[in-house]
Amino acid sequence: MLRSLLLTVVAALLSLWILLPLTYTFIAALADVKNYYERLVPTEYTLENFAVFFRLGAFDALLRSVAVAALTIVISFALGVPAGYVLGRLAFRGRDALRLAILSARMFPVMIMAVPLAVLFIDIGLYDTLLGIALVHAALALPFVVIITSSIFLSVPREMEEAGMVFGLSGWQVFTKITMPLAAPGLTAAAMFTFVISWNEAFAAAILASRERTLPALTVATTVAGIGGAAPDPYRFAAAAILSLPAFLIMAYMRKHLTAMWGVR
Amino acid sequence: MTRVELRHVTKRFGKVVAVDDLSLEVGKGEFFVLLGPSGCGKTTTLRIIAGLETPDRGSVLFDGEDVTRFSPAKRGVSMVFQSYAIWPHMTVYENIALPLKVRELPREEVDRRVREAARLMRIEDLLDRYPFQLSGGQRQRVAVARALAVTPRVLLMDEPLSNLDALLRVQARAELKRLQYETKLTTIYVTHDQLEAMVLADRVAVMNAGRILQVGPPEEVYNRPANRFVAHFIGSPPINFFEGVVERDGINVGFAKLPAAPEAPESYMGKRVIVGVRPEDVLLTPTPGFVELEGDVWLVENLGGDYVVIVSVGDAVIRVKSNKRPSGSKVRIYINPMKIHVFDKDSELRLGHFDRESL
Repeated sequence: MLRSLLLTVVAALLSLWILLPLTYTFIAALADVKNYYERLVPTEYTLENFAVFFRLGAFDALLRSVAVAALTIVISFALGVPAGYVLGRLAFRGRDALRLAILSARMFPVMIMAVPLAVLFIDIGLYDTLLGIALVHAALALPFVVIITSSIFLSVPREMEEAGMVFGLSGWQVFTKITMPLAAPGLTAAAMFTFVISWNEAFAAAILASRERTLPALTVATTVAGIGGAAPDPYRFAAAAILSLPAFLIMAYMRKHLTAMWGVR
Repeated sequence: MTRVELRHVTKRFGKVVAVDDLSLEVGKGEFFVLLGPSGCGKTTTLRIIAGLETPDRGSVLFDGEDVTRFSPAKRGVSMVFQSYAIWPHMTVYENIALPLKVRELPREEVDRRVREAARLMRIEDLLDRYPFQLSGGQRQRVAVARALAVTPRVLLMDEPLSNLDALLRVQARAELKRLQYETKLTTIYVTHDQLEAMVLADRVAVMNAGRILQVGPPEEVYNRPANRFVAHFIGSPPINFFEGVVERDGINVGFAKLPAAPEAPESYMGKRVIVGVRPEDVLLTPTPGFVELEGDVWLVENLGGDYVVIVSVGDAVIRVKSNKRPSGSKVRIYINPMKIHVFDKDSELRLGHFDRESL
């Protein structure tokens, strides 16, 4: 009894921890700048904050963000899924060392790499391109994709693949018709994760592009580093709302697919 | 129908020798059972035949052709896995059809074969279901149907009944036997259940520690176990063992003197042996010519129709299979002298000179 009460309290606190800032973000995003600073909870509401952003090109930036995230998933999966398969399925000397080495790629902060990368990208013509940003994001996401997919492939029962081999499927057919479909729910989760990594990344995106800005880069440029100093809070909250809303929708959609596969809860 | 041959096959996993210089021959259309305790190498042997493992040494031949280096897909075998390995993301129909589709059979032929296999296994109503909608018994049928639909050269089964409950297992066992009789497929079947082996096999190979200890028809393996291990592994309740010494007028096992074969050579005198007597070869009713002993009833186990009476005679304990419960605490038992198995104490091999009865 006491246990379940305690559990409820903890669950409620945790929910508040997440929901309270989120709720306030959306309330503040709709607040009229004129009297925002006078009250704790705003009383006058307007869509003007959002309109400002869309006038500054938020919609185009949002589309670019989606495109970059999609490209990031394609690139990091094209490289990471085969690597994850090998790490998960084949036993070879130095596998654990390799696993660690892959993860250690994340030791180098983007801040340090971003400027040299910008120089390099200008040289090879990738500066200010969505592909350039996606390549950096893929590099950030790749270690996670490899590690996550390796454990996903590890969870696909070996006998499922062996049955395929015995029943005449080629190695490629076993992979495409058996392993991949069985790994699909896990791979979807990995894709969600990759999407979020790319969607939230502002620093590299801001430095590697001046016109082709993604949504976080645009937000940083207009609210924090804008000409004439920082923007008023409601503008910032509006930016945060625009940033988080599409991510929520995509997550909700993918989550449905994640749990509805093969009728397994 | 294909003849399968293994020649001096050895397979190691690290330091463990899973299969140790094993040779065997399975005839066309034979129901061959590999029987042994867990870890004896029987599943590894099956996987080597399937091509899922490559032997370190030795070769696998199908109809005389060396297939040792063939991939599983090229061998034309099919397999029923212990876990069934039904693909969960496909319907029953798709599960049975996929192996046929990758063989590039025409669509009508695929459909015809799927329905034929489904009819044979009586799962026609389940074709549109997904595996998670099936019971254990139904899954087992799907796995067998999938294995039959491809008309394999060799049908391999790895403990296909071990995940079923006892009642279903007996029923499925009979169906498998009947199915093999009808299809005449060369079948190699792995099990640790000696009763299953007895019921199903044309011939049984009893394995232990990566080696085959005895190969033969079930009756032979039961009536003339080649060594102590086989005698012990086959038969339920298990065989009684006593240590003894060969003397001129019989084998002295301490609590009794069992008649020795007259043709036992002189050199056997004083030899230390192990004597095995099956519980069903000991009776509670007086029989002429049998060795009569008196003992105390230590425990009676009820098996339903039969009883296992555990009798202590001197220092020894003897299990007796009987169809009726003994009345008192004292009991007279009668050992059939024709059904005594004698093994060398050191090598544990059967000493054929003591065999009284031909098969």
